[in-house]
Amino acid sequence: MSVLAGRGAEIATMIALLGLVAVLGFAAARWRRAPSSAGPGQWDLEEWGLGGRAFGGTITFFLVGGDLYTAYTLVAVPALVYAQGGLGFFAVSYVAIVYPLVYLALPRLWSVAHVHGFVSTSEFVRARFGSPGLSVLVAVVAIVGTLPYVALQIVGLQVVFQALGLGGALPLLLAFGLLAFFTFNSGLRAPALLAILKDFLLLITVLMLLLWLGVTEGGWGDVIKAAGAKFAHGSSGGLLLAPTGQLGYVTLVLGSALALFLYPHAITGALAARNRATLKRSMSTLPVYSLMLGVFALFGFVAISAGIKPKGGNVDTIIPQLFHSTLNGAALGLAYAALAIGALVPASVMSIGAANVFTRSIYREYIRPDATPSQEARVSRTASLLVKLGAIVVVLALNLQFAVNLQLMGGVLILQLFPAVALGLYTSWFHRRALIAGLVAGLLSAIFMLYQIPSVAANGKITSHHFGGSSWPLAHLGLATRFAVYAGLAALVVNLAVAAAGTLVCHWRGIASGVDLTHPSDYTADEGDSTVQRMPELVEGQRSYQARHARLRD
Amino acid sequence: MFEAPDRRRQPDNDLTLLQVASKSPPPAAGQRRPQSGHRSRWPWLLVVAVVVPLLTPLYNHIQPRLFGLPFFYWSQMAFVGLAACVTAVVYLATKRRGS
Repeated sequence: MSVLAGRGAEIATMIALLGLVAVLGFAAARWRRAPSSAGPGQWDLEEWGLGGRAFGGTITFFLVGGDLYTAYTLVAVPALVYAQGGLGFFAVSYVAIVYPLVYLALPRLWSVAHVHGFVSTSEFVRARFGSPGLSVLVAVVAIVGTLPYVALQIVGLQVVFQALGLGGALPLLLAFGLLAFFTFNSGLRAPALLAILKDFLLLITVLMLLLWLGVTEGGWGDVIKAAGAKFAHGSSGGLLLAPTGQLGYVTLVLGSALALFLYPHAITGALAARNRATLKRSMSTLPVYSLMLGVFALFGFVAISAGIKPKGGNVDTIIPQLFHSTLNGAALGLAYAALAIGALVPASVMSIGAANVFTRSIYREYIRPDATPSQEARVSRTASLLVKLGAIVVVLALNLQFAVNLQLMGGVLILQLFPAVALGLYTSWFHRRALIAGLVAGLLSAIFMLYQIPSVAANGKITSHHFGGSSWPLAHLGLATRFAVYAGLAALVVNLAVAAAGTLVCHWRGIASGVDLTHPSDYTADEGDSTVQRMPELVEGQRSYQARHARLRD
Repeated sequence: MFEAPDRRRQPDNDLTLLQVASKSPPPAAGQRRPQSGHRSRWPWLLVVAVVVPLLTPLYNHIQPRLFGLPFFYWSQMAFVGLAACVTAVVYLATKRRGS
């Protein structure tokens, strides 16, 4: 234990805060539940997986914020800014445009999901286009795309524990056990409650770092000067975007923003809101988090000016190292705990979101169509455990040169759900078969493009020839250009083209469209309307509700 | 400021009583909430907040600086503020119409 000597205060703080996580996570099972409802053993899926769909504005703010701004935010974005400069700031523009982008679409999804009792987008697709095949495809892509994102959180945890001097698998497995325990026990209520703790710790951390910056460094001017000097000598990156890098930047920003609310965990957070107004207000308050992300991204430059070098060649270690060189004792423990909880909260929501998708679109669709609500909850709780195990496998199997690239790969795949899910909220014009063809074409072209992208280390050396990122050079099209585009958006163009052409062909050949079980008014229904079955007061009372598309199925 | 949304629920739907009175799960077309005839133009404001951050030539510059930060960085932080303002304005402007 000699390695740990002198680090008693920080490790004690970390352990105490993780202990608090365990207590809160366990207690959350009974949080905001009606006294009449049964114990934690008697969940139905909407209680466990969506917190009873009854979260008000404050909790929705913390839950969605805690869910979207993950350990990825805290570790990988500053790392990218450290390594590449301006390019890393794509994350800030991306979370700036995402809320106005989904402001109109998300309430429509909320309404149709409440009217029909959906907990996932794949169920919506099933009802909208009348196609179980399309629905299961959407479900599989959603789950597969989420796995690396959960894995990213585990990587975040790993970095924190290593920084604390707690290397090896044991601390990681303990933290993982904690995550599995509170998710299994309390469902979405646990991350919702823990998100508040996470944000509180994170805010303190950011303020401490800014205070240190103001006191000891010469402010942003000197920081930027040091960063500029580094990029002037380096092989890649710069304070500004290179002229050829702008197209890649814009497509990355747009593609990431379009993909964000196609992820099951983002949907889960949004569907748990109690009404449309709650959701819309959240869209205008959540940008507060984006500002915090911007400050965090700039910490990448602070790390440069503080002379921090990546440990073991892993750029992701720079934020923990920055903490280490600026904070001490309990304050350092608190900052590490903020990072760790910042990984646990989203990992929990992601595993719940993916598990809900599995339960409704695979288990109930193909394995047991007559599953009762409590059986659904049981399956979902088990599936959430499996998702986390799958994520660990992803961590062990893939090269983690840049944790952010891993998430970008998942995003490339998830983005292909855009035509069926996002456009589906507005139109049922697309034919189900054309959507399947488009989705498959999009996925294949995405994977092919990712295959063509080598991964390049900070010193300009190629470390791997395939799956090294998501920036696809247009030179592959035979164009004599150095421009590159975000592979996800390029694949989406293929996807949309095939879906549109296929729809025209299907209509021309007279192939019957699927039955649309939704009504235009379903997309504007709100809490209190008679068509909405999921009013919070109803949830706390009876629990025998089944999604309407399940009842109408012949 | 976020709580009790039901208390300030706007009287946006004069058919509510009619809908509650009807117990049949899939109501007939006439009982559905009417689609508002005149669509609000306020949501078009959202386009501004989405498109401006996509125009990199607009902000890919060092000058002018703010607190020592190059324009590239603080302008993108400002776009976050723009997004917050635009969504808030659209929300406040449209909430009485029940859209």
